[in-house]
Amino acid sequence: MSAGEETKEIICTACPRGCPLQVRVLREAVQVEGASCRRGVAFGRTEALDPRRVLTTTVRVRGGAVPVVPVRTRSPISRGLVPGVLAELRRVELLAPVSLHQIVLADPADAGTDVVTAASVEEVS
Amino acid sequence: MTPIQCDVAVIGGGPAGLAAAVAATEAGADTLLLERHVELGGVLPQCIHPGFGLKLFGEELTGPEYSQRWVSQAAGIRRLTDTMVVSVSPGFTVWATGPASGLLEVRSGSLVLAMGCRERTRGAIAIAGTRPAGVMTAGTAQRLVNVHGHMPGKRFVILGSGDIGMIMARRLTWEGAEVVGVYELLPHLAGLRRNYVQCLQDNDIPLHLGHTVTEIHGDRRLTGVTVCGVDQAMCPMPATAQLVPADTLLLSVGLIPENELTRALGAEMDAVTGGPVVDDRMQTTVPGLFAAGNVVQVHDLADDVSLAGAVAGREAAAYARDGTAGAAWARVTPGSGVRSVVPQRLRLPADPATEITLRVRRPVEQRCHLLLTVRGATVARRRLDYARPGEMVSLSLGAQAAQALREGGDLAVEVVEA
Ligand SMILES: Cc1cc2nc3c(=O)[nH]c(=O)nc-3n(C[C@H](O)[C@H](O)[C@H](O)COP(=O)(O)OP(=O)(O)OC[C@H]3O[C@@H](n4cnc5c(N)ncnc54)[C@H](O)[C@@H]3O)c2cc1C
Ligand code: SF4
Repeated sequence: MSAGEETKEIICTACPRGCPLQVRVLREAVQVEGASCRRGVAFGRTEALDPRRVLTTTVRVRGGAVPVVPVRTRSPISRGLVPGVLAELRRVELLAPVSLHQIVLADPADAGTDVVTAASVEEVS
Repeated sequence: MTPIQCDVAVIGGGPAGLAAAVAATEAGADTLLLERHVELGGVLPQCIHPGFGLKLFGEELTGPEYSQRWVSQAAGIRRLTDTMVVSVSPGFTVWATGPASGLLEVRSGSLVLAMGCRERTRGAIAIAGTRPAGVMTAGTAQRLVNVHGHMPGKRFVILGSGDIGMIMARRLTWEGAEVVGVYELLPHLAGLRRNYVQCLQDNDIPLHLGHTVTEIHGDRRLTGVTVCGVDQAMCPMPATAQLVPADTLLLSVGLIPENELTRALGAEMDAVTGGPVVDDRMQTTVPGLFAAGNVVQVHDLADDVSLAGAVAGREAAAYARDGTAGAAWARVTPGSGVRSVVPQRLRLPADPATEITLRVRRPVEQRCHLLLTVRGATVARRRLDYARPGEMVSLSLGAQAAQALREGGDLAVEVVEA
């Protein structure tokens, strides 16, 4: 293997079959082996260059019928940004009532998407 | 006390029960939904991870969002929450109780059972050692963290590589806890590969296949567990024993359909699925008694649960209206390589559009065929690139099989390597 080249072993998760892929990242090209279909090739490429995940967790709610509310990123974010966004969410506390898909953090860490609630919470007086 | 009257009573307000109630109402039945929790949705509100709804809504929803869609569709339907069904008798009479309503009697023309599953506990798998606090099922931990906002420990060991266990491994790590490892008795992963990648691999959590927990340590609170490798016969090998310090042990060792009520009504049970024997309309062997969702068999996807619930609800409404249960059935039996099949019976004349779902006995990592046979002759086949016990697979009955069944005989389902 020459300098600037790297082989990654990646399990394809584009479908449940889970083919083992070998992805070679050259300086300007990506080569995917082991895929059984075209979707796997595309998956291997993104997964090697910029793996993305939907982040879900809970944030605290004050004055609500339940103490926490589930939240999610609207779309997948770069995996590397996950710890930072989680840390930011740990400092958040929402005030009840909370509505479904209310924005919790707008474009955190320049991730390109918002964190929104995934449920509503009623207020208790 | 005057009994409450309805056409269709649905027991359980998870995805199966919600879809059944919606479908029964759409079919014109006066429907009553009974749920023992305050909230509808079954286990969905605690499943905050994404992966729900791809099949039904074409987008990736979290459990609470998926639940919300169904709860709003069911908005106008009569329901009793915080009400637990304690007994049922043929005919049907349902006895339920709750803090607000006291003891209630419900009379219904037909009944849909949608009680879901409970998790296997330590008792069901028998681990030696003390009985300290800090041993719980993965689902209990899921509820504590995601609904009650309470972290049950700091350093976790997870026994079993089921999906709930792997999902909790990520969740706990993201909440700042340490997950020492996931230990799986079998030589292969129990849950989905996607969960292995996104929950364990992404977070550097080790998976130990062919390992089990042999002993629990600790006085009041768990202090650690002994983990051990197992041989090919699944027996622990003492030479490999190792003490792993931890304050919490999560069990992710399988689900058991919740069928006390089903048995009390005398429905025939399937020893392998743990659920009642059902036909292609989700009717049990008791006329007018329908069942759907995890009470019938453990499903991989909530979407499939909703689809089965809708069939049960629609058919329960038809039964309450015209009382036709069917006159003759063919059996569906698991043949070579197949562990379980649902439905276990087909109402005759068989509907060619029926989907036969099954689980295979062992992983087949090569091209194989699912075969349907009647009296030894192959009447339908489907090619698969692989088949694994953890993923339910299905094939349609088809016209040829439906025709063959007209001439008598049972339907057998097999898996053969190509
Ligand atoms: C702890 C746990 C976690 C899970 N996590 C996931 C996951 O993360 N992802 C996934 O895809 N699948 C998960 N599953 C599988 C999931 O159960 C199914 O996908 C789906 O929720 C099953 O739907 P259901 O309606 O059959 O059962 P459930 O969702 O279990 O609903 C059954 C309902 O019936 C009610 N009930 C039971 N008995 C009575 C009674 N006697 N009277 C009144 N009400 C009653 C219960 O309170 C419950 O609300 C999980 C299962 C469990 C047990
Ligand atoms: S390569 Fe294709 S067949 Fe293999 S897991 Fe990926 S999507 Fe599925």
